[in-house]
Amino acid sequence: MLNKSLLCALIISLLTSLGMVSFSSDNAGLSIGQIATLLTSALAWLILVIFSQYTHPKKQHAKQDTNAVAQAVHLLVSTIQSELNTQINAAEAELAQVKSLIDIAIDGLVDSFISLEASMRTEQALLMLLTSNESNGDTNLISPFKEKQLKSKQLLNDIASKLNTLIKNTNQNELASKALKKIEKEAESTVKNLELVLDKLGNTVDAIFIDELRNTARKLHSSINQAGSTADKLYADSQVYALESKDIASKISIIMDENASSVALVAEEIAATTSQIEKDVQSAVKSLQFQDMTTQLITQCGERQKLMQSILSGINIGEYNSKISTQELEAKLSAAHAKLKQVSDVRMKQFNIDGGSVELF
Amino acid sequence: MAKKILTVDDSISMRQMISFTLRENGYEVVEAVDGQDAISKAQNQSFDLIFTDQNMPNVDGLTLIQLLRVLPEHEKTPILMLTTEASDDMKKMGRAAGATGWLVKPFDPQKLLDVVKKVLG
Repeated sequence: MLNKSLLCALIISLLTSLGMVSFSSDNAGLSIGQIATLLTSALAWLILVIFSQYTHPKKQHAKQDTNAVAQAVHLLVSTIQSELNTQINAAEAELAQVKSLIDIAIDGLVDSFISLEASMRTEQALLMLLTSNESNGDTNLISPFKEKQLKSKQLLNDIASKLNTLIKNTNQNELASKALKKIEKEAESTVKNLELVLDKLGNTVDAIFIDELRNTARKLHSSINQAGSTADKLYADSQVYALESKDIASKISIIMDENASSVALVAEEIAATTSQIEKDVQSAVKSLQFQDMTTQLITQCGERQKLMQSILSGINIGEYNSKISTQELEAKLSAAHAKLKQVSDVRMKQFNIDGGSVELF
Repeated sequence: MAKKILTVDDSISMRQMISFTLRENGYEVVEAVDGQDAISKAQNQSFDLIFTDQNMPNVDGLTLIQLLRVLPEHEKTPILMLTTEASDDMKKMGRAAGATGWLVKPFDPQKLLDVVKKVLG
């Protein structure tokens, strides 16, 4: 149900705002500030009332409240529009009346001006005649005419001043009338916009907010119930699991305590063995390299020795050294070959051949 | 992705030992039997590092380095000599040919791995 105090406040605000709007024939119109005050006040109360609905404890009456607010705002808008139209019509009627009065006054004044001007011309001619008589000694006839002429001039000046004032007022009234029309248009536009906003708000609240809120509340309620049952089940399960886990953990703990020392010992042994294997592998790699290099060296030496042996066997040794026979030379080479084979069995260290040195350029 | 290393040596046992040491530590290894084989393999694929012996049939280690440096994809590939040659003259020649470093056989596996890590960054 709509908060009645808010509705009362809304109506009071409307009346107060309308009271602030006054029309005066002196300045002939509403001020833009007054209209803005009126509309701002209405919009502020609208937002306040809708906001109060959203925070209303009983959501099931929100839709009815919204309709009531929409009706109240529509009434407010209609009243503002009606008041504006009344004031504009009154201003236009008064303006038309003032214009007709001014026209009549101007016509009268123009007629007076023309007749005064004619009489002044007549008086001027008469004055000139009298002046010529004055030069002949007749001065009493001139003075009354001069005074009358001065009064006529004064009267003419007054009439001209009044005419100017009337024209100025007429212009001001026309300007005021135009401003009033402009305000009327702006007010109509604002009212239309306000109505659109109201419709949108009303539709949104009706179609989406209320229904969705209701559905969400139902879903939430359902979810809470479901979550509650799930939580109960999980709690029961977790208690069972916890007991089982505790039992298993205690068993593992006992087993670990029993075997802790032996496990540590085995781990140390495995680490030591792994380290030893790594060292052995590295050593094996180095040894294999030595073996490979030595094999290559022996093979090369053997090939050279055989080559030299074949060369020497084909040469007439007597030409070079008659003291050494071919047989003796072959025997010496065979001995050297045998010695080389013996040497090949001797282990060679890495530092003997500068092996393993690294140099980056 | 594993770094790819080419090892060039005419000795099959030496190639196997280098490959074993490197593969055990997570490197991908391609083997070439001599300089000529290495050139043909280096033209088809790129390598992060190359090990080469000096004394090999067909194309020796220093010539191999000079030929590889001509190829655009191996202009800056690190190339390490792994040889029994240890004279300063040979090392100078290797440096002039474009070698990145010089290791003397027989190599220590751990030192070899340290050098590989250092060169590959």
